[in-house]
Amino acid sequence: MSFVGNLDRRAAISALGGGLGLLGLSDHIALATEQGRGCHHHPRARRVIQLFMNGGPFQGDFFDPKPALNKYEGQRPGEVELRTERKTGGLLGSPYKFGRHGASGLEISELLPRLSRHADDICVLRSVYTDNPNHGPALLLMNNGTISPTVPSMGSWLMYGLGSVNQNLPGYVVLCPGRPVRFSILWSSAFLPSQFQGSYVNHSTISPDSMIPFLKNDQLNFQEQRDELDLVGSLNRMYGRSRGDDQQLNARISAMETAFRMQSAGHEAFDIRAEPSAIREEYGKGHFANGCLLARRLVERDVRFVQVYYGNGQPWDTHSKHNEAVKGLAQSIDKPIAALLTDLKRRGMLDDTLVIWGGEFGRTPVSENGSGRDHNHYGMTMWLAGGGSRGGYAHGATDEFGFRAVQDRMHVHDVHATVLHLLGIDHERLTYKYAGRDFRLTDVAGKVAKAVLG
Amino acid sequence: MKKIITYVQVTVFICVMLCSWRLSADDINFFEAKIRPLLVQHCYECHSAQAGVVESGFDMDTRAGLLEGGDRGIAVVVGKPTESTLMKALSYRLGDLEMPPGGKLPQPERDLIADWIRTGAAMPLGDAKQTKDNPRAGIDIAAARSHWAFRPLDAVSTRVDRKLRLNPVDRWVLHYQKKNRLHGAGPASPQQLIRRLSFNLTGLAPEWRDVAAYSADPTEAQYRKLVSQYLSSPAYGERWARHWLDLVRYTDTTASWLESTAGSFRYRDWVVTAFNDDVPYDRFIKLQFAADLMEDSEVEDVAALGLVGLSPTYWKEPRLAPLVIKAVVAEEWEERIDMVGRTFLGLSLACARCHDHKMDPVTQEDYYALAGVFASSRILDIPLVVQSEQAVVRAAFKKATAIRVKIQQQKVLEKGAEDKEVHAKLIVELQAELEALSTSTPHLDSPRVMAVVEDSISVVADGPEMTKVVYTPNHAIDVAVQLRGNPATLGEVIPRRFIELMDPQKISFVNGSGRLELAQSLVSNSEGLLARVIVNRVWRHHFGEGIVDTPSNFGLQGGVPSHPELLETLALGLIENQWSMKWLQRVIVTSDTYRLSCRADEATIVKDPSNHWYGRMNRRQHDIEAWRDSMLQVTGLLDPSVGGKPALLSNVDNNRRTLYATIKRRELDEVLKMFGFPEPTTHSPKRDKMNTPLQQLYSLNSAFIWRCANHLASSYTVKPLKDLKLIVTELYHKVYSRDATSQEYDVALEYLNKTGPDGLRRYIHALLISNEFAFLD
Repeated sequence: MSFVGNLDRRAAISALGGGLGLLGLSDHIALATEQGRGCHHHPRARRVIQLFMNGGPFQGDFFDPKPALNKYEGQRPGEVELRTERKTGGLLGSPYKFGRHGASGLEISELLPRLSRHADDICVLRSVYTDNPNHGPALLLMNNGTISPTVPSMGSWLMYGLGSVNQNLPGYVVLCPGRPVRFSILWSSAFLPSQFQGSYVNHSTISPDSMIPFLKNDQLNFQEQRDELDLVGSLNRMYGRSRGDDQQLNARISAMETAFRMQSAGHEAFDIRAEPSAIREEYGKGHFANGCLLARRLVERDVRFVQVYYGNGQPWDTHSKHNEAVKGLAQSIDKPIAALLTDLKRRGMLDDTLVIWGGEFGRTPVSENGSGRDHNHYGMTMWLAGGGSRGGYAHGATDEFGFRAVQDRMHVHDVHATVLHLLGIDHERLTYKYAGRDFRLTDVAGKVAKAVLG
Repeated sequence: MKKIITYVQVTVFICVMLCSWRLSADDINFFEAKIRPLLVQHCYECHSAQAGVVESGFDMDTRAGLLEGGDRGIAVVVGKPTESTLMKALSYRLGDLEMPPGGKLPQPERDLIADWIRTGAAMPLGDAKQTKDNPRAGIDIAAARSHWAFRPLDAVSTRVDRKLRLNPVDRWVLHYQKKNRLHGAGPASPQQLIRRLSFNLTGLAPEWRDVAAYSADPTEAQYRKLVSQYLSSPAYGERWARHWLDLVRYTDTTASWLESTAGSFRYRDWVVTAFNDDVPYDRFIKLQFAADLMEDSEVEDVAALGLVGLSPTYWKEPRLAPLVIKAVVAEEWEERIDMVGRTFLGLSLACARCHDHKMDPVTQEDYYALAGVFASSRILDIPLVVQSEQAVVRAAFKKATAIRVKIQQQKVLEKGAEDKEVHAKLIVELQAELEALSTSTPHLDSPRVMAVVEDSISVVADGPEMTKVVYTPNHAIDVAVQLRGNPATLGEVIPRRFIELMDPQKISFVNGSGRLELAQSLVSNSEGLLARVIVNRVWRHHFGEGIVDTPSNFGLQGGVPSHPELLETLALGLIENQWSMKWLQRVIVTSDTYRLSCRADEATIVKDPSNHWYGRMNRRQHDIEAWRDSMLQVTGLLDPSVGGKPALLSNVDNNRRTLYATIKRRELDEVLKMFGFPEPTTHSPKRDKMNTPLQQLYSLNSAFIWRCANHLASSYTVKPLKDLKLIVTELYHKVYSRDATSQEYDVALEYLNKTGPDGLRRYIHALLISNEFAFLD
């Protein structure tokens, strides 16, 4: 029996009207989770922010220097005879230099000057690989742990395992200024109870009223709405009186009261305009900066899992003019991510907030169309920061050209297992019985990369 | 990470090894210097017992392992590289086994390995190979046939006590109540009962006049009249079709790479009509698998093939290796088999993809026998015309589409062009061509549906770098077992057939893909299981809980029936009554059990808190369909038209039943999702009971509910009623199907008097978002 999968807890959640992300979860259960009693072992991280570079960044650009690319530019050594989505040519060089940063001397590209100052907080995973070089399956594998769209997302597993803490906000929020190319399936709860699904929020406009559906009442003012709710209360009491102590009825009443409060709590949490201007300047301008700042506001309010998609569609999908494109992309993430790490640290939250960075796959060291880079599932970089990860460390290695993970390889399942481990969960024991068998995020695989634990 | 064996490990490994006298130091040096590194780099990730991964049972750590091979048999024939499977796989000559999967090794490296095999495949001795796990362990099909769900229906236990003239539901429910020393609640009030009946059968609230008529004359005859009325209402089919569509993951949109899926809704409409026409359940199934292969089906019935025709499909990237694409195709088979197993048989057949089912009597051979049926059926958008015309109409339609595209292009060009006449002339010619085509093909514009045809699939290399998916018309194929679910390691080819559990003779399907034979096997070989599963589903929709609490798992790990004899009786009765679903509905809703109140005395609740013995009716929250549809209905907005194209639920003027809201597989409407509507990616056995604050934000603030409330309120401003009390009376009739109590009048009047003229719409809004409107007693 899995630790949180036990019936009592599930029954309790259902009786208490667990919300989207366990909104409305009763205090004592939330508290139990907060103290780590729901966990398999002591959690190092209590919440997660995942920065998702949708489209797939190239590993050799940022944290995995590959001088051989320039040295052998245009050539096609045997190591690069790997099949990817499209036809590729010779090695494509990179004009960007690497330097060593922090006490650890972690190598980071000049493309990310601000983030480099956080070198000692960053744990680079240089040897991640995945199974399929198409966006859809790769997004699914990274989010849901399989290439077919039938299983729950990692966030849903976390909600199921750990529950939510804030009663007035969803526990699992997916921010995207627009839409990634696969949509709700990426934050689906699939066969897990629906309240564990992610809440998608399009933050391309920063007004909370337009971000969150149904947050604002455009028919009544506050007092009128309160009066109506009191009337509903009387109707519900009269209806409930002859119906005993029906938990379902009570649960709906309390959910409605929570919803009423959420109108202000949600508004407040999602409104980055409330931040001091110094903070907003620190994060910088742009959708991604807004997403990072919003993520901090949410985790600060005990939202358990926030995913920030970089942008609409797949902006990191640089099939042509890669080196030009990556410069702009890097600029747009450098300041916000550096600010996010600084901000979390300043608030004493980086210790138990795990920040994850990465895309759905990497890109090829060889060129596509002369200047682009194709999808590459054989090797990619991700990094972790905070939440018990080992800062100032680079784990594993790709080959000389960065095509293929060769040393201390980490499959996506291994990344999932490691993330769950940091959250106090044994990935093999977080299971859910469905359709005749026990399912888990990591299917029948997954190993915790012990070396990346701080 | 343990996957890669380091040289240190290897060195230690060699030191502790007893070196064989046959091996010269040179041989070992050659192996260690040239061959071992290749194995480490390219093979051991998946084929090394030392590293903990032995895929396909092929362990390359030791010479013995290399020689013996894995699931594919001997891998290395010493001295004969060209005969060695290992070399074939390395040189990508096998088609279905290309190693390493990421890309062919360069020629010099392959030559090294060939040399090594030729010169004796010398290798230091490894430790003994571990015994392979036996994938066939633990299944006793014959023994499993005695499991309650797999047995033939039990006529003995179903004998109804005719003297008592009891409805079989009551007969067995009372039996167990008595046994457990429980007694049932009193009957529901006439008003509650009719509201219950109407919602359960049609998904809509009753008309007040029907409630009033029955309340005035609550006789059995009146009740039965209403039962018939609801069962013959088109709304019945709409309600029950939706229950069915949950099971078969219905969607209006499928993958973009398929031809047009605009006709998907015809499957939904076919299901609605089938329920309304009370098509016998056995025929209902057969038509959905094989309407095109049945002699006694109508052209329109081909829409029923949407069961398979609307299955999820996954992208097959032509740039990837055939093996990768085969894995994608295998995922599709699994999805179909899972849907079939769970929907019809309550069995998780898909568990047998990688190995024999660990819990249920389903073998891996069974799985691939069924996979052959789907490998021989291709999803296609086809016109609803007689079969003989189909190919012609399809070809003409393709041509017509191409012409239409050209016309569009010319129109665009014409706008910016200086020589407009040239384009205009071309357009005229194209239009003439289109007209000619339409004249020569009378059924060119026939409705189209997502269906299946008898084409089999194969995945083949298309030159050295590409892969293609080839469909062979009217050519059924059997597929081979994929050992451990890996298309790279194939076992025996299994003839298409039904599962051994239900067909001990394992008779092969010989008629095309075998879709019709599969459907026939479902209704004849597994008749009892099929009937039990559907009876339990219907029961659940009426009582909120099943006789078996795992509606899609009747296997050895599934629930056991709370009232086995009742399940048997109803299942047998269903078959005896020619699989009439309306018969089943009638038996259930005319039972006294169905007509009980939700209220029970304290003692009963304490004794049976979960209502296991049906001593009362379960109070249930409406699903999104019943809630939204009845909201439109009672406020006078509902558009009751049946069938047709879907429209987005979010459209501001969408007043149709929720059944007709566009269901996008990849992007389910946010409101539907919020209220627990299932993702249409896979079979969904039951809706989640969910209750979240976000739902209640919708209650408080959605434009939709305010639109409903405002609409109903406006009907009173048009025809002003001086007496507010009369309005309240009428609202209670409309919204709650009952009279208001004096206290409710007081609350209403106090609020309305306080809030003034704007109060009425707010009051109605409050009624609509109240618990009473969300729950069914």
